[in-house]
Amino acid sequence: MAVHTSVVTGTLTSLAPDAGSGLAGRAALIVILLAAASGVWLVTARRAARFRPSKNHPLPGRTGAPVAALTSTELSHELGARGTFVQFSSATCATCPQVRRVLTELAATESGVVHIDIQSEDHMDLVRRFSVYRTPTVLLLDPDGAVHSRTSGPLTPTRALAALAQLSHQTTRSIDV
Amino acid sequence: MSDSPTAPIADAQSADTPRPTPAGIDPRGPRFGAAITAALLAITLLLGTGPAATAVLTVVALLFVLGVARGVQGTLQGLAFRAWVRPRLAPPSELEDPRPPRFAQVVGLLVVGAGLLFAAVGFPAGVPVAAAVALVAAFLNAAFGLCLGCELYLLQRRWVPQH
Repeated sequence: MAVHTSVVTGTLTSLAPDAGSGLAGRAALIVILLAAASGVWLVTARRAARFRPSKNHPLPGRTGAPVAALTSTELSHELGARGTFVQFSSATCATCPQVRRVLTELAATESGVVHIDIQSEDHMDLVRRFSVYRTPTVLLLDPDGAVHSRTSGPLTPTRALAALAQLSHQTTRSIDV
Repeated sequence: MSDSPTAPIADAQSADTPRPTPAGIDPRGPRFGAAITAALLAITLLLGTGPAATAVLTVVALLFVLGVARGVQGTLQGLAFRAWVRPRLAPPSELEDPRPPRFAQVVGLLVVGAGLLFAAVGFPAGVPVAAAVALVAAFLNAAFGLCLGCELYLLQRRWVPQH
């Protein structure tokens, strides 16, 4: 997000000489700045809202270097038989309570699904290991504790259920093969 | 690493028994405040460089000081929201933790304060640059409810060297 801000600022300063110093020029700069910021934010938010496959998962076709799976010992909690949602929260997170409500509800109604809420400040080792840059970030673990997919920002029950269905589909298929 | 990987993690029950948090605030309050801040920052940009622009940015900095000291609900925008805006709105569907927007006020104060500092030591461009950065954050907050300052919290925690 900081990178995006500096890109927008860079655009502003590079445009400044052309826009002149008149009031109209400055007003045009403000409009361009706010339009660019809105565009960057809308694209970022749309991308972040989906559950993206983790490239570090051991499934065939995932190219990243494997990251060690989370264990129930590390999490101080049993893993879900179908899947585990690991939510990274923090003290200054405005969206975390909404995501917590969605996932708590899901864990209560779907069998084999567990929701674990992590306070990021207390677990910076996990924040670094799983490259968490913003809260809330949610990792969906397969039954073995490997990260199957991840998302960040606000979360709807529909998207969480879709990610769960995708996970169940792929784990069942890899057992068959 | 100071943070042991075997440290106990908040378990699933924590969702049922949340940690004690300060009384919630109406989430529309900070967004209303951000809209006013954004308007002041836009005026700063329109004024370019000079004493007038510096004066308006100083007002914004003072508003951020209030926000840092008392939380967003204690700023002039927060008081205006409670006095004139909230009575006209339906009750909020949910309340928000006041700490994230307060942290964002700290970030805003640092940005605007740096701009004023640059202007004071002979770089007048510091005023419009700082106003532009802060305007993006305040505008995104007012328009979309995105707290850009809050997003920086975890990044800052990651940069803190481990001892």
